[in-house]
Amino acid sequence: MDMALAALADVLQIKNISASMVGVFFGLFIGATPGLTISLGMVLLLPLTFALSPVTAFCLLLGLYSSGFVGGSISAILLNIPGTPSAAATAIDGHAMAKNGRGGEAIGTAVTASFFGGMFSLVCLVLIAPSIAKIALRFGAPELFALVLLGLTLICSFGQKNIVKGLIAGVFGLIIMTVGLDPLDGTPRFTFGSVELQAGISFLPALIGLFAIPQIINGIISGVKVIPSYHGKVAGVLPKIKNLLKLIKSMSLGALIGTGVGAVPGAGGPIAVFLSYDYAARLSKNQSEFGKGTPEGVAAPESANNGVAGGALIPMLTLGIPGDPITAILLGALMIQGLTPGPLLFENNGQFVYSIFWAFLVANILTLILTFATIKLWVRIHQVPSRILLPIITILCIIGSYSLRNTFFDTGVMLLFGVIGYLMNKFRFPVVPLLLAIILGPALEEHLRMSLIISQGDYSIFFTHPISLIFLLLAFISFTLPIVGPMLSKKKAENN
Amino acid sequence: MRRANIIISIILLAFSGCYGVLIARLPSRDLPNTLGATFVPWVLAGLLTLLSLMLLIGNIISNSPDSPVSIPKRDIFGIAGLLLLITSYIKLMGYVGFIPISIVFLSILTWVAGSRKPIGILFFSVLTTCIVYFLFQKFFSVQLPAGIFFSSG
Repeated sequence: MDMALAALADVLQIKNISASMVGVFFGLFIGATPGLTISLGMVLLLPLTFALSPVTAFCLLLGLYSSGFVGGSISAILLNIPGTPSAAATAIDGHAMAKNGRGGEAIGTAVTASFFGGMFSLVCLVLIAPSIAKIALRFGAPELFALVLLGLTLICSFGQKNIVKGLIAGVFGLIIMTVGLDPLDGTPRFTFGSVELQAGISFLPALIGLFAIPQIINGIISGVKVIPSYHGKVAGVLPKIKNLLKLIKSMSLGALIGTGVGAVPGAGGPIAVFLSYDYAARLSKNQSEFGKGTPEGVAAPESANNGVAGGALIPMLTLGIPGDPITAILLGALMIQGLTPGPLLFENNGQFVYSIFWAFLVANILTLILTFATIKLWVRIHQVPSRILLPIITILCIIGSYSLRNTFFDTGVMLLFGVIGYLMNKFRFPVVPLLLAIILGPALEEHLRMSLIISQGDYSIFFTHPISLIFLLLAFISFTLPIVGPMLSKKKAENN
Repeated sequence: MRRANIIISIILLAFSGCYGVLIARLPSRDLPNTLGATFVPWVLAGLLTLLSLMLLIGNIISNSPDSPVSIPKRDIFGIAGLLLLITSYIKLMGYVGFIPISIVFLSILTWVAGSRKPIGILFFSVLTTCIVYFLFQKFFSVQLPAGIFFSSG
């Protein structure tokens, strides 16, 4: 209890509240601007966190995390262009409402439902995370190896259109992580005599390159019109209590699905929002109104959207396995601060974990207040031209990657990964497995080799430990199911 | 996409081969009961080869119609130009210093991005450079290159 109160006092310090506010404003801007993603916003802010304390850094990043989704729904409702992929379901009924002159009501519903989903997922996070961490504390090297492998296979296979391409991206990321000194015996691997390469490839420049450079290339060179404009008026944003009460069922459903799906690594926000939209439509009395502009069609996906945020924090904090690209970046932020994600975080940095809970609460409250207070600004933000935004993003990426070690070597790494990211997007290879492999690769190798040292080279250690065996079986299922499943369905259809 | 996938899988197979050659050249330290530094790279090389073969064979035997993917020549030149611009910026920053080179870099980039008002471009470039400099150098204590003209040493 003392720890929780001390953490609250820490989060309520002026500098931390200010960091949350900056994060919320930046998140609303990023989310409301079509073409800019929350992941991009995160990688742009990440270099700024070097000089901040862990709590301040997380107030900033969680502010962006919770408000980015809300910002994304504004452009989805007004322009029918989802600011984030997760806002796609919101656009269906939200934009229909806007076309009927109810854009303000749709935005108000979206903001309130997002707050509801965020709060619900926070309660789940606070109640569930410590218990999972307590169990995970008993894990040894074989269990941790199997867990990281499970996390990686889930991300590589789940939700990917082409599982082979997902797995290739994951293996390619693991290959990149073999560059540098061997973690156990110090043998230099693939360093080609370079001192910089001995420390390995830093994930921060790789992150910036993978997420930001392809967007800059598309925006500046390929002539993609990144930012459209909206010239209508928005009124009546503040929702009425009686209207909100009618939406409780949709919001609860969305929050439940969002938190549950968010907690599964690799499942991601878009799955959660469409699932909740679909269920809300099926369970609604006004089923025929869905798609024509009903607030229920906005409330369910928006609640799910922010439910995903808290849900994805559960495996990230307790097991060190990120649920989506954004929590992967948050995981990187923890590592930059010298903190080890996973159960040991609860054991060794209990107060910091409480600070994350409080910071998430503050971020959600500030998102609610600041969005309503500044809604006119976000409605007009689409008019910021890309010829202004893209050069700013470019210079922030370059200086951000330089600031990691004050060396241009990292900036070169960022550029290289930018080209890789661009080519991967072009040839439909998913970048998220590559990113996660870069982040989780060192832990995977370390736990594998530590396990074999413990067993004196006996591989059966992974199968004789029950938890490790379960994780390995789940990992096997996770990448065989997407291949075997469609084949079985096809055969069944042929037989019928 | 099928043709592109076949070419990519061949490139990946060649990459796996080169990676294998590099692994074979790694120094080995045989510590008791420990996997060597080459164990994980060998596993990964094997996995990449297997997956590349799966991608290759899957696309060769596929009956689905091909949807060609190509990067237009204009884009290739554009991307090369952008990378050259960024590389030159990075290379020159150490000599010229962050502030002057950033103003020039941002001016060129803003023009490339579609802005055509010289005064506006200059104002934007100077303002952005000053904000970024203040943010990183003063607020976050990141030492940005001063260049040979501005360094005190």
